[in-house]
Amino acid sequence: MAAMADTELSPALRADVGELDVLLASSNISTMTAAQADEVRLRHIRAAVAWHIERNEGYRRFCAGRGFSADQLRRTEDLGRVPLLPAALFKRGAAVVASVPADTAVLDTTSSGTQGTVSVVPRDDLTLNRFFATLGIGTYEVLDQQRSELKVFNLGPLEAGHLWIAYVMSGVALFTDGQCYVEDDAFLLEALVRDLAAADGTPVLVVGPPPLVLDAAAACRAAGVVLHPESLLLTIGGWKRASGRMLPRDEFVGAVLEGFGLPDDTSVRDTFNMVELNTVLFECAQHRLHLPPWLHAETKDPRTLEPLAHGQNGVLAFLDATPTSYPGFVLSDDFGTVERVSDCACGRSGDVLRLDRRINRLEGRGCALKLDQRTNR
Amino acid sequence: MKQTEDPTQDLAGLTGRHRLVGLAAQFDAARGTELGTALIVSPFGVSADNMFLPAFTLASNGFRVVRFDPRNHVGRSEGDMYDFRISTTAEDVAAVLDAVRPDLVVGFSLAAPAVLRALAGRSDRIPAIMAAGVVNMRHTLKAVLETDFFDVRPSDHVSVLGEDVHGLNFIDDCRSFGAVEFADTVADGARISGPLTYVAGTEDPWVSYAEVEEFARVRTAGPTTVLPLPVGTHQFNLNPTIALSYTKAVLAECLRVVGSDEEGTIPPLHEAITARKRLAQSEAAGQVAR
Repeated sequence: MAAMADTELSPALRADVGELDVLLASSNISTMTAAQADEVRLRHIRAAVAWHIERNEGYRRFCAGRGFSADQLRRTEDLGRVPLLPAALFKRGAAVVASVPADTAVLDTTSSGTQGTVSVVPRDDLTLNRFFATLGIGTYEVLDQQRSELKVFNLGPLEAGHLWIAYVMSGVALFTDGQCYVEDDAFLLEALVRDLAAADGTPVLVVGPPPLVLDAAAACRAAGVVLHPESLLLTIGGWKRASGRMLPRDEFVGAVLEGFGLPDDTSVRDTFNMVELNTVLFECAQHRLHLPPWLHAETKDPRTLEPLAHGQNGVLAFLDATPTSYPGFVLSDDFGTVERVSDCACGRSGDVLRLDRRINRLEGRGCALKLDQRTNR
Repeated sequence: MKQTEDPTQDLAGLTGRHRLVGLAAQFDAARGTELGTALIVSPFGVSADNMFLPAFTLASNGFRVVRFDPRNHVGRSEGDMYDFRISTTAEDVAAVLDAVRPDLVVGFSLAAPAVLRALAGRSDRIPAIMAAGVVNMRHTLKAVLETDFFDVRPSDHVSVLGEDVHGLNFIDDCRSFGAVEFADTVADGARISGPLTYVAGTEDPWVSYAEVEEFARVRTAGPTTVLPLPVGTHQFNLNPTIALSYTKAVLAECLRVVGSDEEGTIPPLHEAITARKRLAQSEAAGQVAR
C-alpha cells in the first residue's frame, strides 16, 4: 500500500468500530485478496486501537508513554508499532485489562493455569457475539460446512462455567444441532460411539481436544463405526496432560482417519485460539491457518521485541480488532512464524500463522489443560 | 411428546414439546406480561430446535412463541428432507395457523413463500414478518445452487445446503404450487390484506433487495414495510452477528405490530447459551414433556 501524506488519512482508513459488524455479516470474507485484506485489516485495527485508547485508561497511559496514537497507523507496516499487552498481564485479573465495555453484559472468561495463574478476559456481549461470528465464518467458509443443520458431536462439557475452551464448545451448541459428551468430568465415549453409529449416512462434525478425538477414533474402529466421507474432525486445544500420548500431527491424523474410516487428511483440521484472542483460526484444506482480515499477527524478536520479517521465527503477537471490552493487542507466550502465501491451493492468499512451541514457563497454560484434567484417563 | 391434535383445544397454557396437527411443535412461555403469540416458521434446513435464539428473544420480551417442524424437513416431524416440498410446508403452516391463531407470524428465508400462501385468502389479517424472506424462488435457487434448475433438468439427488433433495420433484412442485418467479410472490401478496414486513439484507446474495423493495411498491392489498439491514450473507443461523441483526429488527417489528411501546431488549448471548444448556439438561433429565 502506498504511503500517504502524514496529515491526511484516506477515508478508507476512517473505519468506525461498528463497521466491523458489517464485515462480520458479509460473505466471502476469507477469500479477499491479500491486498484487500491488508487494507480492511488496517482500517479495523486502527478503529479498535482508537476505541481502546479512549475507553481504557491503563492502555491510554501505556500508549502515551510510548508516544503512540492511532493516527500513526497509516500503512500495514505501522501495525508493528501498536503497544501490546503481555499475555501474563491477563493473569492479574479482568480489571487490569478491561476497557469500558460496549454493553453491560460482561462475562469474565478464564483460562486454566496452575499455581493461581488463571488468565481472566472480560468479554462484553458484543465481544462474545463477534467471537462466535468468527467461529461461524470459519465453519462456513474455511471448513466449507454449509449445512444449515450442522450435526456437531462435541467432545466437551455442556456445563462449562467460564473456562474458555469449554465455554466455546458449549456455545457452539446454541447455533448447531448436537450433543456434548463430557459430563461430570467424564468422557461419555460409549454414548458418543452409539450416536455416531446412529448418524450413519449423515456428514457430522466432531470437535474436541486431540486426546479425546484419538480415543473416539479408536473406539469407533473397535466398534466398526465408519463416518460419512464428508464428515470433519476438528481439533481444538492441545495434548496438555496427555503429552505422554502425544503423537506427531501426521501420525495423529493417520490414526484418526483410520479409526473413523475417513478418506483423506482434509477431513482432519486443527484450530488455533487462546483465551486472550477473540478469533478462532481454522486450518484450510491445505492445513494452513490463514489470518482473517480483522486479525493481524506478526513475530517479535524475543530479546528486543522488535518486529520480524515474514517467515522469521519469533514470539507471536496478535492485533485482534474484534474485542471491545479489552484490547485484543496481545504478545503471546507462543513461538511461531507468519508467512506470506500468494497461492494456497485452497484459493486463499495472504498471511498464514504457524505455531511452533510454547515459551517454557513453570506453570502450564491453556484451557485444554483443565478440560483434559477432567477427562484424560 | 404430548398429543395436541384438536385445533379447538385451548393451547394457551402449553409449554415445551407437543404434537400439534400431526407435527412436532414447541411452545415457549412469555416472560412477563404476555403481549401476544408469535408463530416462528423455520428456514429451509433449519429445525425448530435451532430457532432457539429468535424464540428465546421473543419470549424474553413478552411473546408466547410457537415453533414447529414441517413434514419432510429436518427436525422432529415425519418425513425425510429428500421429499421436501414447498406445497406441503405451506399446508403445514396453514394448519398450524388454524390451530394456534397467533397474533403474528415470523417466516425465515424459504419459509416466506409458504407463509404467504398460507395467509392468502384468510380474513384474520395476521401480520407477517419475513426475515430474509425469499421473493423470487428462481433467483434464490440459482444463487444457492449456481444452476437455474427451472431451465436445466435437475437430478434425483441435488445437494441443497448440504441436504439431499429430490431435485426434479421439488422443482415440479414449485411449478405446480406457483412459486417460481417474482410475479408469483406478487400474486400471493395481492391475496393478503394483512400487514407484511420484510426484514431484508441490502447485500443479501440470495435475495435481491431491489426485488423486495419492488414487491413492497407494487403490493396494494395491504401495508408492506421493508426494513433494510446492512447484511451481505444469508446464513444467519451460523453467525450470531447476522442472527442478531435479524433478530433485533424482527423483535422491534413484532413489538410494533402488537402496539407495544416497549423498545425491546436483546438478551446477552451468554444468557441465551445458559438458557439453552438448561433446556438441554432438563430435557435430558426428562423434566420436559416429550
